[in-house]
Amino acid sequence: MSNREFYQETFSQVQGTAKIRWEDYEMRRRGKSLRWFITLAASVALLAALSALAVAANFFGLRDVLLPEQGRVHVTDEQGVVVPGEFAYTDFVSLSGWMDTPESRALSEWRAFADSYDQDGAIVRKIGNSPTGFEEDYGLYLVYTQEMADKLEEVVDKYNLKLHSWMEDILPETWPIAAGDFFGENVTPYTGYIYENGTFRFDGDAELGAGELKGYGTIEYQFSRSVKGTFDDVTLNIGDIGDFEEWGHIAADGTPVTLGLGDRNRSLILADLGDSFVLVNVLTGRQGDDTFSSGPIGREELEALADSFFYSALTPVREPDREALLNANARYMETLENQPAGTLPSESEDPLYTRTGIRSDVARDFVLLLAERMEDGRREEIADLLVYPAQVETAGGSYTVHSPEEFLRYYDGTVGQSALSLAADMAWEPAPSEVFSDGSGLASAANGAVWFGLVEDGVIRIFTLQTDQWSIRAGSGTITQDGGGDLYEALSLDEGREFLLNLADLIDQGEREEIAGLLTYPAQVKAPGGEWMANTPEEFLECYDETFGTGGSTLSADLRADPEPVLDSGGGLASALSESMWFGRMEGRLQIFSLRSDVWLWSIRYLGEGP
Amino acid sequence: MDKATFTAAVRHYQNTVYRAALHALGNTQEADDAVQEVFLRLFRCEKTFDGEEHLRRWLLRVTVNYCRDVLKSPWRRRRVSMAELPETPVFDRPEQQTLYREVMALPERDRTVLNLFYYEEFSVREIGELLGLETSTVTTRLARARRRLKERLGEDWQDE
Repeated sequence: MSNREFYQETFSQVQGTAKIRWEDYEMRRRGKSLRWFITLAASVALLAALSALAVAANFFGLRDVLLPEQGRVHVTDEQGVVVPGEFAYTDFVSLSGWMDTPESRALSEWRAFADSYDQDGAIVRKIGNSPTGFEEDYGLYLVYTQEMADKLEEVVDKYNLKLHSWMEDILPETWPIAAGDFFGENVTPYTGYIYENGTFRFDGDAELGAGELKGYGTIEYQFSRSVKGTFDDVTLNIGDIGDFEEWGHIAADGTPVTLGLGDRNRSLILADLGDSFVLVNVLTGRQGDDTFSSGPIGREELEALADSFFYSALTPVREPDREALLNANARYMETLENQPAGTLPSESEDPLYTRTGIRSDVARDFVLLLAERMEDGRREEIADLLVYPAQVETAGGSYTVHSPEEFLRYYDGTVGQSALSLAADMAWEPAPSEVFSDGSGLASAANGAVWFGLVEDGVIRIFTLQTDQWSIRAGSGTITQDGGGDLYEALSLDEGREFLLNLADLIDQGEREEIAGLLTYPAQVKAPGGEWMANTPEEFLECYDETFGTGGSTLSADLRADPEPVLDSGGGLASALSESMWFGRMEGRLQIFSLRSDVWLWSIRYLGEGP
Repeated sequence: MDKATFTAAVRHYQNTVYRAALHALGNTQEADDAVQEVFLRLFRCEKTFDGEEHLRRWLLRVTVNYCRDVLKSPWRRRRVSMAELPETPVFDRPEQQTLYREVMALPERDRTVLNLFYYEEFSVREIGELLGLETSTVTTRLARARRRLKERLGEDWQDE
């Protein structure tokens, strides 16, 4: 049997378990484009599913937007097909604001009327597709008889509200013109619509750190901003309000929001901005929902999504310029038409720009600038490019730095020791195709060693710099400052020296089990022959030949030549051989946390909690 | 793309995409995720393919690019380091189990080349075009992977 036959015979037995169905994708696509669109053509059933109202209690929570009466929705079978004549009753909330506002009270009253009107659909069936005569004045509401028109006028008069007069679709790139730039870098709006008063709604995606938060990727949501003073009849079916866990949160821009974490396919973000009310319907919950999002979310993810919008940019409300919107939409359509056949904007020739807002050529220039600064050792200028606060992690400990000045203390232990190799990596692959983005809103170069992106004032800053030995990441991190000194007990110079010489003996004598016993697990092992994870000494022995077995004698000779440890006062760890090795005492015994051979190009690195 | 074409593509190439993703990512769960993502891109794609081979190469290229992005993510590095070791499929014969284990122990870049060469039967030049690599780079990776398999598998892996 040839190698190819052997290979094919083996790997033909490897099969995935993913279920790929056209219908699932189709449902997802339909969900994006149809949700939220309430038009005269909508059926009574659709209105019932989307229209309703509520009142308040103490702290402004979900119950403060809950409509007093439950709404009737169609029952669907296991395939999602509507069962004719069968209905269920669920909780609905107002998108217009808290229930004690004129807008929500009007909505409640209108809904009570609409739910009881033409219940069997006899009138609407009789009208069919014929003009009703009410299109011009009430075209944005479900009004098809004089009786309905009269009731609507009565309600808006009673609460001193106006009616919507026009509505325009908004294409993805027109949103900043339509509503201002209130999107975080990680959010993408799709097509939606806006009314004459600035009320708008759209579906969107957001990348939650591309996985930093429990590996979370894309999350889908529906964003609604309702401007006060105008009657709006759209409501949201939330299932059972008892399923929600709710709490208050201060969003990243300082806006107080109410968060509601639901069970399955629904969670909520509410914000009262004074002149408008925001409700974000998040299409997943504690258990997740495969139809829309990639998995379940928790409080952390919901807060991260809430932090992804700049609510303060939405107030005061600015009424949209209809002509400007139509022109912007036309320009966008023209761009689309000029795309090469079969491509979409997100897959255009500069996907980096689409994902990060940074053009590929600009990103390339930035990478080259950084490489140049590293090559020249211009430490202050490199420090100025980082985002603060930042978490600095080295084998010697973890530290939070808040300014370029603070970071400079750690420069030599991080960037300083790898500047030339990093610069070389960046200079070798600054071609546009090698600066990429994974959807997190950041761009990356040098094989993932550097991650950078736009910050609020429109300049590029570095969010992550990392090698196998150290990392600098934006944020204050969660690891104990100063290296978690509590975890590691101090050791003396004599103990350190004895440990190093003993290690040299063990290497020379080929005591592989004892050496494996000195390492800290789980450990990442890298060598020219591959990469492995060793969770136990037994697993490490599988890679022994790739590490100590190759160049062990060089290492032991180096240890004998320079057995003096350098004690690190921060993390309680000691280093040796110019920081090629870090070791320390944990749970009463001395252990090796990291070790690398620059000559033989292998490294072993502890990947558990701490250094 | 219409439903019939899409469904046929899934039927013919789902395992091709899965194997490519598994070779690239070394993790069965992530490979399943990749399959979902790649076919989502096919679903959204309005491209017309000039035959089956064109479609297969397009899917493989999209898979490789997607996996490359996943691998380079700094967040993934952290996740994988803490993750449990991926489960191993069950094979008919022990030497197949060994081959699978040894292939998965190779660096990602070598695994991908192996799959494209031995399973998908691409030439070295075609692999270079698919991955955007020089032919010499592909040859080097292939040689390194073969040498390693020979060392580990002994007589089960032929000299080439």
